[in-house]
Parts: sequence; C-alpha cells; structure tokens
Amino acid sequence: MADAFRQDGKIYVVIAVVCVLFAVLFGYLIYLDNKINKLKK
Amino acid sequence: MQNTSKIFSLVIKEYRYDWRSRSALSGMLMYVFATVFICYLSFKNVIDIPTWNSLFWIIILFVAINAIAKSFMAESKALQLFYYSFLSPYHIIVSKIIYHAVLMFVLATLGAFIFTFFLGNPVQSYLQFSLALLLGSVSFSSCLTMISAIASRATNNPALLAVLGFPVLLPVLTVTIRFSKNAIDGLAWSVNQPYFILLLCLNALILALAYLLFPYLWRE
Amino acid sequence: MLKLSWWKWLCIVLIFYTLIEGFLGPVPALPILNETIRNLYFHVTMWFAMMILMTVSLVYSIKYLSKPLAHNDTVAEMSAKVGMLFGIIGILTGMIWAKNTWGAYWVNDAKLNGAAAALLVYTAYFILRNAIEDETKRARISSVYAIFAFTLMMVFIMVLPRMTDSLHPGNGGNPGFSTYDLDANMRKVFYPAVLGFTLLGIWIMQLKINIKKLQHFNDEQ
Repeated sequence: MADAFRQDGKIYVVIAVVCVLFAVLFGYLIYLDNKINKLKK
Repeated sequence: MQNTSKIFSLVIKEYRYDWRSRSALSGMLMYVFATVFICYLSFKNVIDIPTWNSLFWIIILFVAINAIAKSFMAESKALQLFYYSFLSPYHIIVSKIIYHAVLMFVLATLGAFIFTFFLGNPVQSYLQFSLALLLGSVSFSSCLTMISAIASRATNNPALLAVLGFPVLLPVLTVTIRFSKNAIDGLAWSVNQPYFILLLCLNALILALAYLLFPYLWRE
Repeated sequence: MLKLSWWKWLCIVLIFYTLIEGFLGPVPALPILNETIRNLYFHVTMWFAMMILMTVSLVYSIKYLSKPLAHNDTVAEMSAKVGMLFGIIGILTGMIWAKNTWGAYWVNDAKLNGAAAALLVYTAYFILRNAIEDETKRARISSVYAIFAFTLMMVFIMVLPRMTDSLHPGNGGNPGFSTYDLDANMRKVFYPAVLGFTLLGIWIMQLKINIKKLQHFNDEQ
C-alpha cells in the first residue's frame, strides 16, 4: 500500500496537482458557460 | 386472415422477384461456395472445433450481409410509392423478414453441407445444430432486414449497411456461436438450453423493435 | 458573482470531494489490487455516467419519434457524444488498470467486449448521422437506429456477462465490485462521484446544445 507515500506527505502533492488540474478545467468550463449565456441574450 | 394472405403473397412476390433474375441468387450461392473454398485452401484440413464453428458462422454472417443488402435498395421509387399507398408497413417488414429468414436458412444449411464436405464434420448433435442454424438465420435476417431498411433511407451506400450492421449483430452472433459450439460438442440439452432461450428472447426483442420502428422509416 | 445554476455548483463540489477523498480516504487492502482500487472511483464512475447518458440519448430518441422537435434530436445527439467521450475515458482508464493488475492491456472478457461493442454502436450512430443530409430525415432515421442499437447494446452489456465467467471483478467469483462487496467507506466516495461526473456530462452536453442552437440561429440569418 502507499503508506510510505503518505508518511512523506507526497500524497498531498498528488491531490494538489489533481485539484489544480480540475480547477483549471472547471474555470474554462465556467468561462464557456458565461460566454454562451451572454451570446444567447 | 386477410393479413396473413397479404403477407404470404408478398413473400411469394419477393421469391419470384429474385427467381426471375437468377443472378442474385446464384451470386449468393457462389459466394457461399467461394468463401468456404478459400477457408479450405487456407486451413487445409488442420482445423479444430472452435475454429470450425467460428469460421462457419463468420461466413454465414458475410453471406447474410451480402444477401440482405440488396433487398431494400433494389426497388425503384415508383414501386415504393405503389407499396406505400396500398400496404401497411407491417406487411412489408414482416414479409421481408420471413423471406430473408427462409433464404438465410437455406443458404446456411447449404453452407453447412459444403463446409462439412471440405473441412470434415465434427457435429455431434444434429438436432441442436440445425436448431442453431434455424435460430441463427432468423435472428440474422430480422436484424439485417431492419438495418437494411435504415441504411437504404440514408445514402445508398452498401458499406453503410456493414458499418451499421456489425455492432448490432454482435450480441446475436456471440450467443449463436456459443449455442452452436455446444451443439457440436454434443452437450446435453440442459446445458445448452439457457442459450436457446436467450436466442429466442433476443429474436423476440429484435422482432418487436422492428415491428414498432419500421413505420417511422416508411414515411416518405 | 458567477451566475451558475445550483447543480453546476453541486457538480464542482462533488468532483473535488471525489478527488480529495478518493486519494485520502481509507480503502480495503486487497491483494494484487492494493491502492489501485482507487481507480474504481474514476473508471467505474465513467461507465456509470456513460450508461446514464446513453439512457438519456435513448429516451430523447424515443421522444423525437413521438414529437418531432429539433430540440429532442439535438439532446439525443449531444448526450450520445458526451457519453462516447466518457466511454473512451472509461476504456483508457480500464486499460491502464488492466495492465497494472492483470498484466495485459486487453483480455478476452465479456465486459470488455461489451464495452468495445458499445463504442462501435456509437461510432456507427455518428457515421449514420453524417451520411444523411436532410435534417428531419437525419433526426428520424438516427432515432430509429438509436433505439434499435442501444437497446440491443444494453441487453448485450447487462445480460451476457452475467452468464459467463469473467476476469472482471464481481463476475465469476472474483472479489470486487458488487452491491454487497463494495466497502462502506468506498461507497461514500463512489456514489457522489457518479453523481458528480454525470452532472459534469450533463453540463458539457448543455453547452454543446446551446452552441448548436446558436450556430443554427446564425445560419438562419
């Protein structure tokens, strides 16, 4: 199991990377959403 | 009773249509013979049972696609208009499915004979195997007739029929192959029965879907 | 403030929850699988989301045939597209997981074949859509094919794997994913994950539908 990973605290790096990735993707999605809603009006 | 007589006359008409220009029928027979012969040449009698089974059904699959591909495309626009005004879509689709089922059964049996002639006959249980042939032919025919109807409404591209047909035929094909394999091995009926029932249910499902959906295609 | 609907916020929250809990949360220490069981949160989630989107596509195809509105057909098409995207992600994640635990990228297994067949059906559906020019005809014919093909596909995926042995967890005696086997801890992450990713799929689908409507509007002018 990945207990060594957790002891070093590296698991948080994994989570941080993944969260940043998704945050950027979500930001893009929200940007598109707003743009399209604006165009619809 | 009027319904069945109409359907029956439609089936006869399909048969006569094909029989008049023998080229289509003889083409299919040649196709069966040619593919079996090619398999014989490539394998040269060194063939084990699963391969025999799968090869046979793949050949039947290709024969079916070839045979049913032309069914909807051959009729001219004027003829189609004629049918549309006189007949309910149910008659058309049921008659076509019946005709193709009979045709496929004949071709499949013929194919089986030629196959055993060239590559030996490992079949243990003839009853179950013929049952497999029958059910397989019916399911291929109903599926492919429906897909042919769909493909003919799109651009008249024969490749489209194959593209649309293969994914839809996959479940039917896998069950048929397994059923037939068990029949060849001569397993007891109790082992094979689930597959038989499954094939029946699949067939019923396909027929029901075709019955419900065809009128939407027919509106032109 | 960002004017997002409530369910879009829910989607974002759920997915971040999945990501964080998915890596930090406790999982049962199973042999061979070890930590990779966490992939379940993503791989199986993708399949569930795909199934849901496929059902949406099917429902809207049926709706189109009963009420020929362009909207119904657009929804059917876009949900199929997003469903296919999730399906591809599901297969890719599955292949990576397989290589790690079973030793090969692909094995002869009923569920895998069912998955590949499902993607084949989708591809055929899109090829059919491209082959027809007229809009109403395209909608009608592809709806018929969708109902026919997806129904058979669902039968294929659900019924056949149950009848045979398979390497996949949950069938043929392998430990793994079934309603009784899934650890209570994992369920706390799994169900929100399914909901979150499904909402994500619906969000993307809605954007695509709006884009298509705008393009249509543009063309008409």
